[in-house]
Amino acid sequence: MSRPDAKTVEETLRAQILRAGKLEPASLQPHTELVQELGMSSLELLSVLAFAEQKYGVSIRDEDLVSLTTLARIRAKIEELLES
Amino acid sequence: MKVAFISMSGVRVRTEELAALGVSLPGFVERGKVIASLPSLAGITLAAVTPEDVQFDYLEVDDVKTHGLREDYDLVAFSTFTAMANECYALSDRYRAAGVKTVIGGLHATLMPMEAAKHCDAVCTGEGETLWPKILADAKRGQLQSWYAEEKRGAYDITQTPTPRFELLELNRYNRVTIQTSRGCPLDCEFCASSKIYGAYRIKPVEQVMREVDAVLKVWPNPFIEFADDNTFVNKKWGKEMLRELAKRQVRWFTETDASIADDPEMLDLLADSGCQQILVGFESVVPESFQDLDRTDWKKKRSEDYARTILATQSRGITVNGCFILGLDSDTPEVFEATRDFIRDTQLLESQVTVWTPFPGTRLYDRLKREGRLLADEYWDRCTLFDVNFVPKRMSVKELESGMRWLFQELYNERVYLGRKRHYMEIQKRRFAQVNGGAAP
Repeated sequence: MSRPDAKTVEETLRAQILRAGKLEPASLQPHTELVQELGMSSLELLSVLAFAEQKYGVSIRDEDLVSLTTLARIRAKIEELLES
Repeated sequence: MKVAFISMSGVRVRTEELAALGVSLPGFVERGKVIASLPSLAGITLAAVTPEDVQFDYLEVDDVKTHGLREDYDLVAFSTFTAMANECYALSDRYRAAGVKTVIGGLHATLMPMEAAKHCDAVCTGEGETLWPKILADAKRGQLQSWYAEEKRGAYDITQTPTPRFELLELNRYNRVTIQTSRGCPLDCEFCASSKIYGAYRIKPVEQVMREVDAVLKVWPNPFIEFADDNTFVNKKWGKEMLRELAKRQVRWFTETDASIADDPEMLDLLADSGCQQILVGFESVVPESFQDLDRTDWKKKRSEDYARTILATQSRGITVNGCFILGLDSDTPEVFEATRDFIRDTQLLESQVTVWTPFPGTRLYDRLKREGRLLADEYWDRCTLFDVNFVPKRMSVKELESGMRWLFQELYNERVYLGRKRHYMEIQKRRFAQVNGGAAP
């Protein structure tokens, strides 16, 4: 499987966040805090992270889970894991 | 006429070491924040039966010291839980000293009306919807009576209760909004104050609940709803009908129910499809002997052998179970702490709420412990936090109960366990994604 480009990763994650949080597309900016600002539940956020792991075949370290609270950070982490 | 509805909702743990632990344990803090930020339904429900010519403010007070007194009110209506009762009385005393009439209702005042009457001009016992218009009319005429009581506990027809005025809430203060689908619980556990004040178990018709959900959606398009019930899914047929309606609205929600919810796979599937994020279940204990006389029919004792299956069946559908356990029950020995930790670990419960047995005034438990001379003080309302010990346990000392609880908190709510639970939830979700996609990545 070829490595997806950064734009595709971002778009895929964005679509999943919107779906999981039932959010309006305009509300989601890369650095918006998903729980604090958009009101996603912590479980919805975990479901997005589970999706990302499954989709890209990567494994996020448990210690990193708490800091992945924006689209930009999740994308960066997935990129980092795909590179390694 | 100008009225203030004042809800007293803050609860602070009094035992210093426990309070200190509470701020350092991530799993504990998270649920604590949720509970602390729940809006009160009493004021916004009474607001809905308040005549149009009466002006009113809805206020939530969690610290009476910082509350600025407003002397332009004609009547201040208080609602409080037991833990805040004394602070509520102090505030009522201040209002009365300033010449403002006060009335109190809610759970604590209903169970302790004589005490409440010492601090308020009027006491309202029972469900307020039918009594409130009369209280207002009497207050308007300057003829406020000292006591307003329901004729018969549990007789109020809740199909007649109006949709609460959700638009009065400053929604940015909350991460959840509350809706009540039922009142009371048929299990009538010895420690439960709610069963005592509500009497008969009653449910709202599904259409009525959906009217309330839709009213919330009008002011908060993507809400998280906490159903403020004691036991939502007693009636399974009604429950399924409600879940189908909730699924159409795709709101996220939480509720409290009993372990029988997991008896029916269709019910659990509907629960998962309806937007349910978590159910809170009062498992109460992991020690079989401790169920003795907990509820009138030993229902929980009979169910306890099935707890692990209940948790697995529910959580495998992506719904987390918040299991509640009580420490200090009459058959509990110091072994209960380790047994509780092991049960929660072995069943991979995704959330747990461990509290100390609390004899709330007015309950059968309070009467019994008082009779047996086991209450630590005559009046301890500010310690009715569910985390402070107020009685002498039967098979361990007060110190053993306090230190055992602290040990258990450290075992359950530390960073490692907290992250482990997050990981477990993600693995469940990954399995569900794989099922939907025939084993492939989504």
